[in-house]
Order: sequence, then structure tokens, then C-alpha cells
Amino acid sequence: MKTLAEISRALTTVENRKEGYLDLLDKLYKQGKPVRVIGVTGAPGAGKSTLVDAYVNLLANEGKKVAVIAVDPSSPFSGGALLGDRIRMSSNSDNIFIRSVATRGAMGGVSDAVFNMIVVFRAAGYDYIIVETVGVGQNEISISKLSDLTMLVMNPGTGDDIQMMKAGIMEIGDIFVINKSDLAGADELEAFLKASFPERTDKVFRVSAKKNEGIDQLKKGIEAVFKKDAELISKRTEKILKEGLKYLIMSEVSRKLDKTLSEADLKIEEIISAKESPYSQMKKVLKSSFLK
Amino acid sequence: MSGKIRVLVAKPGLDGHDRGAKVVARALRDAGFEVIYTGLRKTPQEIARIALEEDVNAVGLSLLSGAHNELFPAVIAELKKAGLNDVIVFGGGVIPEEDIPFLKKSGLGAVFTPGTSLQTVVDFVKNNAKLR
Repeated sequence: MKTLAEISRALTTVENRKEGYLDLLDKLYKQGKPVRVIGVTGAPGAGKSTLVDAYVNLLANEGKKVAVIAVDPSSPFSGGALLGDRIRMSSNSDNIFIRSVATRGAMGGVSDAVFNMIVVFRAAGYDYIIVETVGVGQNEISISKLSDLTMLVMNPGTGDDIQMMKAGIMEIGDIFVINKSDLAGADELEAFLKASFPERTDKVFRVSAKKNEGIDQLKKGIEAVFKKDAELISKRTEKILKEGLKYLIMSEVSRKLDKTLSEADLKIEEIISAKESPYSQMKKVLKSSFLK
Repeated sequence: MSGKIRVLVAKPGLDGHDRGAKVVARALRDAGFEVIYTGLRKTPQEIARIALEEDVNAVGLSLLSGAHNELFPAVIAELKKAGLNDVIVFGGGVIPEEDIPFLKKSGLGAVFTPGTSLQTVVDFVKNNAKLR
């Protein structure tokens, strides 16, 4: 897998779970080299795409190969999606590969395919993989289960110290980025963050992604976390693989389950006439399935 | 799980008007496609690179500047150069009737001019884009 076309086609094969995708992933996983996976999450409009653009350009200029997986939501109604992260990403560097991904029904802010797509980029020799989530609310934390390091992008004027204390999204930020920090309220947000996370005061960064300000310091901050917290990150890698493996098993089971359900002989009339109950039918279906 | 048709909606060249591109992008989204929008002012090379990275099945080009006779064939040439031979390409914008035969000969599957219904665009993609 050397050319862009081959990488791109492999991503499609994996995302669509085409015939033979597991064999392909098996092969690619073994070819993988160490890579840094960085998650970028935050509310819609926080500036995630713009920040990713500024950050990956710095990395690419240093000669690093960077892959970006940019996730946007699929419609629960039509199944379609408008993937608009590229609008903010202006890079022309050959070192950068951007792939837009729709959630296709997955909850938690990323697509089910992201773990497997990381395996593809790893095998293709990328140094960094940036995963940008959909715009999230308070509780979409799947990204932290996939990344070595998670950046939470926030804006001035979006919360007080109570927001900082809430469970969920605030707990997964290894690095806090205050984007649009030229707006009023940046000082307060910085103070709230530092007071709420006294152990992470060196991990709060003020930037303006659009004006390309503060990105250098942020990049240095990320490098420092990778150096200083190497042990933490290697422990996390174990966790990521465990989560990934659990997910793989779950997705195989759910595929089999879908098949069982679509083939199941459900006798609704018997239930309407109360000759049978839903419970006895449920037991029958399970008995005749792979779950017996 | 089966795949989804992926469509790139692109704005080649120096043209800052993208209301039409956005309306079409949204209609394609509502028809169940995954639509990637490039944003404004992309070169033919950039569009081909994006189509390659996104592995799209169709590319829709929107242009209102009058440079369609240059830019549309240029995008098609770049797509071919990138090896994207099975991608269908369609165009839209203020395009005079007399230019359409030339554009079609250059490789555009369809040219949609003002007044075209969104359903016509959706049907074109549905009937012509091939899932990989």
C-alpha cells in the first residue's frame, strides 16, 4: 500500500466492510509502525477544523506525514451526510491526507470505522493521525478511547466553573485549547480551567486558529505531553487495543444478530391473538440462532 | 453493511458564489448520499487530489464565472491523471446552451443549468454513480 489511491481504496474497503476487509486489516495491522493518534473534540463551531488545519500544516512543514480523519454526522432520517470539514482545511502539502467520514449511525462522536481506519493509516507509514470528532455536547467521549491524547477545543463565554466540574466531556481533555481567545471571556475561561484542573495548568493553551496565533506553543505543549506522560500513553495504548478488540467482537456479533433478526420467523398474529407471548417467541428465536 | 455513494461538490477557479453548490449539496445529502464540499476557489489539481483522498464516486462542479469551457475539462484531465477513471462528473451553473455539447464531449456526464429541479440532479447521481 504505497500510492494515495491504494490507501484511499483501503479506507473505503474498511469503511464499507467489503468482502475480505478483515483479512486486509489483519495484514495491515502487522505492518503498522508506531504512530501518534491525537483526538480533537469540542462543540459545533468551536473551531476544531480550523485548528486542525493550522496544527497539521506545522507538522507537515517539518516533514511529518499527517493523516486527518474528519468525522461529521450522518442523518438519522436519510442516511446522507454533509461532510464540511474540508472547507476550513486549505492545505496543499503532499504530507497531509484528509479523509472525511460520516458517523453512519454510530453514537459517541466518531464513526465505528475510525479504529480500523487508524490501522490503515498506521500501515501506510503516517507519523501522526488526527481524528476530529463531530461537534459534541457534554457526553460524547468515544474519541478518548481511540486516541493517545485528546484535545478539547473550547471558546470564551461558554461556561463557568460548574461546567468545568460536570462529568463527561470535561474529563477527557488531556489538553485544553481555548480557541478564539481574542474574544471577551478568554481570561475567565482560562482561570476556570486552571482552578478546576490544578494538575493540568500547563496544559491550557490560548490560540486563535483562524489568525494562526498560539499554534506553535500548542504544538510544543503536545510534544511535552508525549514526552512527559510517555508511561501514561503506553498504558493508554493497551486500553485502546482492548477497547478496539471489544468493539471488533461486538460488531461481529451485531452483524450476526442482524442476520438472525432478518431471517427470524416472527409470528405476530399468534401474539396478537395471545396464542403466544412475545417472550416465548423471543426464546424460540434465540434457541434457533447462533446465540443458543 | 453496504457502502454509501460519496459525492464531491467542488468549486473550481475564481468564483465566490456557492449558494447553488450548497443547495445541491444539501439535496444530495437528503437523498442519502455522503456529500463532501470543497469550499471555494479550488484548482483542478486540488479537486482531483480531494477526490482521490475521499474516494468519491461522483464529482459535481459548480461554476458561475464563465470559465467552464476551460476549468471543467481541466478538472476532468486531472481526475484522469489521478487514475480516477470511474468517477462520474457533472457540472452546473450559468452555462450557455451552445457550450453544452463541447462540455459533454470533454467528459461531463451532465450539465445542469438554472431551472433544473433538484430531483433531476439526484436522479442523475443515483442512476450513474457506481459504488465500489
